[in-house]
Amino acid sequence: MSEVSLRLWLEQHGLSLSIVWDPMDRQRFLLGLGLTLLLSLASIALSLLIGVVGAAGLGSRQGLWRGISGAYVALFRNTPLLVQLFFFYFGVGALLPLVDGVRLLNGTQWAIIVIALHSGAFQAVNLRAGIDGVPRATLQAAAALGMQERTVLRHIVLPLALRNSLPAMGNTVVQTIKSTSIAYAIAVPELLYASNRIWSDNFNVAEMMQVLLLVWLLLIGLSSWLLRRLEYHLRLPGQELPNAA
Amino acid sequence: MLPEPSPLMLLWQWAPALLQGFGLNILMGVTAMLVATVFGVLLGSLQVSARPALRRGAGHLSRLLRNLPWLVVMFYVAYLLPYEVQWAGRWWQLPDWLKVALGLALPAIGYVSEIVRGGVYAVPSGQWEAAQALGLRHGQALRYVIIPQTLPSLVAPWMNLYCAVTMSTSLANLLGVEELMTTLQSHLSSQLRSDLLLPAYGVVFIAFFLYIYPLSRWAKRLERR
Repeated sequence: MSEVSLRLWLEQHGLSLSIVWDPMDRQRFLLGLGLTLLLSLASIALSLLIGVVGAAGLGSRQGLWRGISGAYVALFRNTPLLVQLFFFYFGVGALLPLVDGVRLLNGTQWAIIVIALHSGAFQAVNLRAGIDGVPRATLQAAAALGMQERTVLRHIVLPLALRNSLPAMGNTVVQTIKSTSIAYAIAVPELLYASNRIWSDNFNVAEMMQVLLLVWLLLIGLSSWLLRRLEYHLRLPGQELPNAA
Repeated sequence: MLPEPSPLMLLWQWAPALLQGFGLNILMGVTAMLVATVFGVLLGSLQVSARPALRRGAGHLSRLLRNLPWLVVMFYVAYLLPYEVQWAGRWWQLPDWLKVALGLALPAIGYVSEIVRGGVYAVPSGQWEAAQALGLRHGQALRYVIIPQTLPSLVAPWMNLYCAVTMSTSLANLLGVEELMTTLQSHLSSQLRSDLLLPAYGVVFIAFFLYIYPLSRWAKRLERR
């Protein structure tokens, strides 16, 4: 009975929040939230992988790899994510073979791949800047100690470079989470899409918009807090960034 | 029966309509950036005001604006703004492209504000002291001494933001505004040809790249200086 009285109370106050009393709407909304989290985690993981490969490519001694990585970064940083998504989902996706009557990759998978490609270009640049920010003298000191190139990379360059890049990479991670709402465009039922379905059925655009904004603010607030904690946890005393004011 | 025209031939025929669509993208980008610059500079000035409470409030607002996905904000503004507004004794219709531009301006305000704040903090504190020694109040010091010095360093991030805003105008497609992608899709739907999809979406990709890439290269050159 309490659900009914809650509904009455909310409606008397002009709040038509169907996700509170309608189990189906609530489930749609929660599934949307879950899918947004899944899209975020998967595309962050993939974008970091692409970022590592891209950063290696940008600093490669072979001109061909440098050229390919540079072209990839320039293309994906300077075009809208939505255009990339449509290009891959409708343009490239239509060329993929059918497996058992369905396309090889579904909307959710394409969304993860394209968001990761987009964010990966930013991560590659962030990571490259961090690697280039390791002072020359540190590398010379490592060489003077007789360290091999791989040892230097693993124990000297990467630990310092990762810490250099962490603030920028964290920003891009937050951007990646935000950009998952683009999957709405190809009918992946994430938060925005789920909310859209709910407000079309219940005519409660205004209420659902407030809920949507609130959930997104919580999501972004939580992830930036976690990233700040990570930065604090990994900080090295005395490691000052040259550009930190 | 006539032979089917090749994809490139068709796209060439559509070019005038597509260019017009892209014009709307640029118009939305410029409008959003104008609004964002005016209100962003205001909010940024509040972020470096002399009163701590004002500074904190403006900081929270700016973070709030930056923390929301552009798409969600665009929907929010476009759905909740009225269809027409009464102003100066007349009813004015709000076209969808304007609603989108205003929606996209909101997060951009947060970014402009942050750019201004960063620029002001980069000015050496001696400048503040010098302005104070000349008897200028906080607002006057900001306006006549500090802000003019930050202007050169604001250009590059401002350009980068313009690029980001212009790219985000493609989101207007999801609200049916007749911008580049919407124009393309309405032409595509009259054709029912799958060999057209890849080159057609490729054209949108290239159009944005050709407009944005030179601008972001330019911004990068300014940054290095």
